[in-house]
Amino acid sequence: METPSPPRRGKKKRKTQTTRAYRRCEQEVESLLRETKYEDCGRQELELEARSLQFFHGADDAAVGEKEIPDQEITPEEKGAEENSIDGEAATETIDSPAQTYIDIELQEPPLVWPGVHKQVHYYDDSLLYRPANAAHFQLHLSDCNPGPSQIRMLNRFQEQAKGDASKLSSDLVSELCDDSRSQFVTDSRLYRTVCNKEFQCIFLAPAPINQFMGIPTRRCLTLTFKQLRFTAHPLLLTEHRMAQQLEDLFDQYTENRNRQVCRKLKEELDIARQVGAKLVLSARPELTDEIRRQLRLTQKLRQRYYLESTAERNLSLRLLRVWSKLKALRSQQDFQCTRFQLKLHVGYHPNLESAYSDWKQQFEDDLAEVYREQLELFYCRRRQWGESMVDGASPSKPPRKPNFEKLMASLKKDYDRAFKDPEEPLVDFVRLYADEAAAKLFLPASEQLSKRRNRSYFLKLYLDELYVGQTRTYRLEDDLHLYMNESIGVLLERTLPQNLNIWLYEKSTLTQQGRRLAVMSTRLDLSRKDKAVQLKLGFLAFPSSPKMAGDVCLYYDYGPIEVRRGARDLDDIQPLPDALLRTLFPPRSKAVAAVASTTEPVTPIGPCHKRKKHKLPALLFTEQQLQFCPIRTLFSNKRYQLLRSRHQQRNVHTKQLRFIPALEREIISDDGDALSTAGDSSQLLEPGTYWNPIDLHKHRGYKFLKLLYEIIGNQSARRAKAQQLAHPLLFLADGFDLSLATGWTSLWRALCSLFQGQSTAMIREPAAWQPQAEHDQYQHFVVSLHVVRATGVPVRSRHILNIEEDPNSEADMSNSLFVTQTLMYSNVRPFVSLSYGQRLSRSRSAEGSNPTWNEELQLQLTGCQKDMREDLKISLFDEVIERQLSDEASDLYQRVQCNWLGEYRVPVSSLLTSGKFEGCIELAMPKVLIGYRRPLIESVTNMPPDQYPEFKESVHIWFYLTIEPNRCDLPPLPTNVLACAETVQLQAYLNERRMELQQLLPQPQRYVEPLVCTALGKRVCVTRLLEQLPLPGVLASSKSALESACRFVSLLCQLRSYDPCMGFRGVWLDNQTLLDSTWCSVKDQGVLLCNYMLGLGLECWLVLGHSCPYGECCYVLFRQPDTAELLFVDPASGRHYQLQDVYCPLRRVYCVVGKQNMYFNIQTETRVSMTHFNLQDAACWFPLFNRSSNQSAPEGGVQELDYAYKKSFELSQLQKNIERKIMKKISAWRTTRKTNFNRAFLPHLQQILSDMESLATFSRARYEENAYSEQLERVFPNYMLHGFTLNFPYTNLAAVSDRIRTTCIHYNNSPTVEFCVAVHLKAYANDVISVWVFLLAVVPLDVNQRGQ
Amino acid sequence: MAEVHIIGQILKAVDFDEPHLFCTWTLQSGSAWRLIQGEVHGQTHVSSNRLESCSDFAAPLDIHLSCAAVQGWPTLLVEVHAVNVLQQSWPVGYGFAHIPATPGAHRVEINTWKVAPNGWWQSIRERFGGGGASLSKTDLLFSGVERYKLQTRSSGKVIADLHLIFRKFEEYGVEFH
Repeated sequence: METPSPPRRGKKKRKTQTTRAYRRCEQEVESLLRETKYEDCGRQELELEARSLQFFHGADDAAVGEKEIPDQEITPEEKGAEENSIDGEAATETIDSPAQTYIDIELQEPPLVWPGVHKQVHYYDDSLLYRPANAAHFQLHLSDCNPGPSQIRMLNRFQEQAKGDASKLSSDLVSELCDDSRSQFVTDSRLYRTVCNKEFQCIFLAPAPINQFMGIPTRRCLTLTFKQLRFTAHPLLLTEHRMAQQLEDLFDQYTENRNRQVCRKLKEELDIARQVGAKLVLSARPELTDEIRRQLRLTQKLRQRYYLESTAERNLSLRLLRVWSKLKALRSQQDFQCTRFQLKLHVGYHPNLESAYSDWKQQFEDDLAEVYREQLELFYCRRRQWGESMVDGASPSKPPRKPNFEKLMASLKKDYDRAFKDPEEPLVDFVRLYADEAAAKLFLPASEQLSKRRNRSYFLKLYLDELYVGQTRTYRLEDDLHLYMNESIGVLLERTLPQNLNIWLYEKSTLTQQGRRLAVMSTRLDLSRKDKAVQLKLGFLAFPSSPKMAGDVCLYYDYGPIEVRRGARDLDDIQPLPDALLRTLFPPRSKAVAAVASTTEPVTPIGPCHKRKKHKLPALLFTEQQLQFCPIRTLFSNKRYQLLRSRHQQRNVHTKQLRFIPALEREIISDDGDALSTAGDSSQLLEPGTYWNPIDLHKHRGYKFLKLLYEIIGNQSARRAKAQQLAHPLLFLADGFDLSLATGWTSLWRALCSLFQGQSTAMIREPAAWQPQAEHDQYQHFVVSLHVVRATGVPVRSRHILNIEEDPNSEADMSNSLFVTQTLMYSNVRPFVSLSYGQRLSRSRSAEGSNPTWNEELQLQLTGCQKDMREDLKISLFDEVIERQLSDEASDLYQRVQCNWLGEYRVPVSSLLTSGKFEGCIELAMPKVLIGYRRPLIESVTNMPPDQYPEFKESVHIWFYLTIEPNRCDLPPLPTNVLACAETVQLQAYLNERRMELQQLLPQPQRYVEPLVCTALGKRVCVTRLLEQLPLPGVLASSKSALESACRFVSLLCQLRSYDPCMGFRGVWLDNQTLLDSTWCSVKDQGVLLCNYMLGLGLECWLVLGHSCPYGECCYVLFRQPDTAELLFVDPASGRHYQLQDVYCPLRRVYCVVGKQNMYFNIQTETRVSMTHFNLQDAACWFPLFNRSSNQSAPEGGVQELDYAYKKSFELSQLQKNIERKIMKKISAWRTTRKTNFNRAFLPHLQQILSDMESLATFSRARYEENAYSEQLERVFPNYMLHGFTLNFPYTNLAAVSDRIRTTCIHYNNSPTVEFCVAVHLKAYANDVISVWVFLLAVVPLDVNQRGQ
Repeated sequence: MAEVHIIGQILKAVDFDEPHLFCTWTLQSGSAWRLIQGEVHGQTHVSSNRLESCSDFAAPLDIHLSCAAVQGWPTLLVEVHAVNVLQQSWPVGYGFAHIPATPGAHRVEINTWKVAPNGWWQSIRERFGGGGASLSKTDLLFSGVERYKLQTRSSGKVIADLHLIFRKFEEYGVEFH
């Protein structure tokens, strides 16, 4: 306790209550100190050293005894000590700012609370760092002593402290430090480590039960209640207003006086003073004369003050009376009243007049006696003075005169009259009347009312220390120029207390959002009074720019903890802290800050708009936002994030199955690449670009047209079906609803009758025949499963490829044996089947030999909207070639697996969806030329005739079973039966009759085909009308084999792939004009067209409606070969001819046969086509729709356009180049890992082969004479291993071409030396019906040693 | 897009008095954090060990988060519940830990506490009948506003093994060493 500051602290502490624990602690410390005093010097020195070390290089235990001293500030000494580690220092420095804002309370130890301290600014400047040095900073005068380094350091430190205080280092401190009796010095365990000029005030919190202690409230609520606003100057101010306001003010004063009761208090005081004076006089001791005199003087002063106050009070009442009477007179004089102020007078008389008189008289006499005595005293005093002056011989003057009693009495009487009322005077009491609105009866003259009603509304804006807090609602100006607001605004204050309250008055304008600023009121907030609300009346004066206005606002504010407000819950009930504590907890801003604020800010705050001009406030930013790396929006727009997120959520089908998402954003490509573009996808139909090939454009338009046509007809029939369901006429005729009767007066009469008779029961509404199903445009999962059993006739590898696989050693022996070679020939292929759709693929195991058996089930998971599934399912046959690569080391053996495409079979998904399943045996579409492979010719194996080996056919057949799950073949048929019918009513009725007959005969109800079909015009006609003789396009007609050409032409029309009811028999049948114009059609339309061409060629032919393997409901053409009179089927989609007994015919079921004159329904129980009799005249097998017994004959013609003018196709060379370029580009693009070389050397050969192909395809009827081509090519290029094939398909668009190429997987050839060759040949028929021939060849040069063999 | 992968497991709970325990966990993060993938809350199975007071959970954590700010660094909140033979459960431990801010493997020990019995009768009931007070608001776990009102007992530890991978923080000037 030797240092100057601790005793003060101690004293202060003693004022407050200390706990027992604290006192014990204190005692311990003191006893310790006492002990240390008497230690011997040597040890003392050591300890001193240790202590100062401890002090300067601050350890934790230094602060044990001084918990009440906050050690938040880091001393410069410490900085100096830690100058090596500036980083660490910076860290500690930043830490202490939050520490200042929090208040920590320890409950166990003597609890401590630190007030929030305003942050000090620290600068990191080496020059500011203080380094403790062992050399003294200043010259020591005392040369006799030799202080140790620790003492010098201590001296330096105190000198620095003194510098900080701008004072001098006290000499006794220096002497004390330099003194040899050092034990006198550091005796206090409290070590101050700070030079912070902030004085910390400790707060002692007595320990309280835990359920009572609720922490220190840091949050307070300032509630401002605006009561009313009054205009004392306003353009609308009238005399009445002025008077009323005057009266109001007077009345306020009056009430205030009454509340304060000044007169009564003064009177009491006066009485006391008089009594005391009287007592003093009575005691009359000489030493008390001064006291007496003082008392008397006090009495006099009190009396005079009493008179004054009383006079004022009386005057006030008189004025009140006077103004009130004037106001009343004014109100009665003018015929309106615009103020509310009302006064009521209670007039009462003194109950006992006599006593009142006597009281008055008594008082008067007392006062008079007192006054007279005072005057006398004054007189004596003066006379004495005068006498003294006379003795001195000063200026002669008149002697003072004795006070005149009469005069005194008169003056006192006058004072009394002024100050006190006569006893006879009635007692008047004023009461203000707050009449309700109705009673007040405020009204104004009409003219003034009008002007006043106009947008006079005001609002107030509230600023605390220039910070905008809020605004009141808008209030209309009342007639008495008041705004009655009664609105309170609560402001939550956290740790800071505002100093000023500024209120802006705004006039609301109708034109703009912002009001017009009128005036400002400013006041200082006094927040120290906690308990009661502060009432204020703020006057304001409008700005000179605006019309002259003045007034005042009546408001009061309340400042208290918010918890009080919700005190109902006892959990959060916080007891108010004592005032002293609160003041220390919430210091009104530290002085320095306040000073800075006062210098910068003007006294009157600047308005918000003004402020904006001066310094722009930053936009409102949360700290969290300020510290963000990037706004959250960019996170959401991050592509990778979106992908990852949507994959996680599993909602989007595209992202759901993503396996890999690139880590870098730039690697993410948009997924609308070529991969998803599909053959029939209209959006991808055209390559984006400025230039469109006219053929592409034609195809695109045709596609769009057909889609539109289907949509229109579909919509029309749906609408009509709905209308027919609902729209029964509102008025039912009594019996029979015949349109012919429903006209004229009779019908009206009938209608009226029917109204009274009630409705006939004959009109029963039919149950809804057609319900719209929206299901098939939802996303669905499908499982396509292919059970592939076996295949026959798979091509075998020709010699070159064979060589590769053979072990060079064993081959020498084997080549001798013919048998082995032959066996090899038929087992050297390892075929496997793959099922693919879009990008998905699933493959089987690979089997051996050219007649493999897999017996395996392949599954494919598809997702998509049924309507959007336009692609084909591909069942492809591959050969797996395993190539052994011998490296230099004999031990290493590499295998290279390569898959060679052999052929494929396409199933449109839409037809699979419609049919649900396909099964049986199909013939694969093999490439016409397959280089590297050879057909397994039966002759090369055995001498037996091929009839005994029916499976050794020249084409590849696959036995399979293909289903789709969920098997929803419930595509609602198009309700075409509601469309308008072009046939006569009799025919319709006849057809109806025949239907009844037929349905009893039919073994299977689904065989029934409605004979009335819908045409492209949206009308129903009999199906026989579709058949008419049509001429072939000019070039084809002239060729020698017109039939084959017609088949070829029809098969090259583009088939629409769409899951649409219009594709079926009950859908839309196109006539030749729409078909040929658009070149897009469904399979049944191809059949009709082919049948018409055959009729045009003079053949006897029929249209067979049935169910075929890859297309579902379709039309085949049955015709009689003119030479052999043999009946043959023609598949219009491929142009192939089949015999009636052919089991491999894709036509699986026959429903009916339509001829030109008649229509025959199949009523045989046999369902297999190959076993069906086709003797149409047999009534047991076939049911003719029209027969001779009835007089009906089949209607003919009228649908097809007989003289259709074929158009010439566009120029092909450009398209050919486009296709070529596209294929090359695509192959390069797909082979991402390797460089792709294209070999031009083969091109002329390939082109030559392709040019022959079209005629071959047309006329050869799928015979294999093409082996010659591959052998020729192999002969020309013997040193190459070749694999290649031709592809042929009708041209639709470029995307379809690339899709076809992709499914062949030729680009997967991963031989390092592979080269590709692409040749494209186009053959155009009329109307842009184009057959595309593509030759793809993968060329691998053979190694030298392989060549040698 | 800065990303954090939290891979690991809630290994075990040790030093609990009760033999049968399960643990529910939640990963809490600020508003600038978005979950990309994974589950941010879960519950382990009931686990017990007769020989030592240690319940092995080994509940896997695999969470992928992305963030736009360091604020709101994720915390792992755990609640340990005890189960008795009647299949009744009550909380016996609350605790939380911040996910470590350095990449790599970490073993995080989460000290837990439970709400102290409110009076003599309550403690007797807890000792013999099981049960215990639980928090009405789980945000008490991580927010410090009202915690001072709680009276708690310290209970066991939950140990979690976390492997952290941070991506692309360096683009925003945050580096981990």
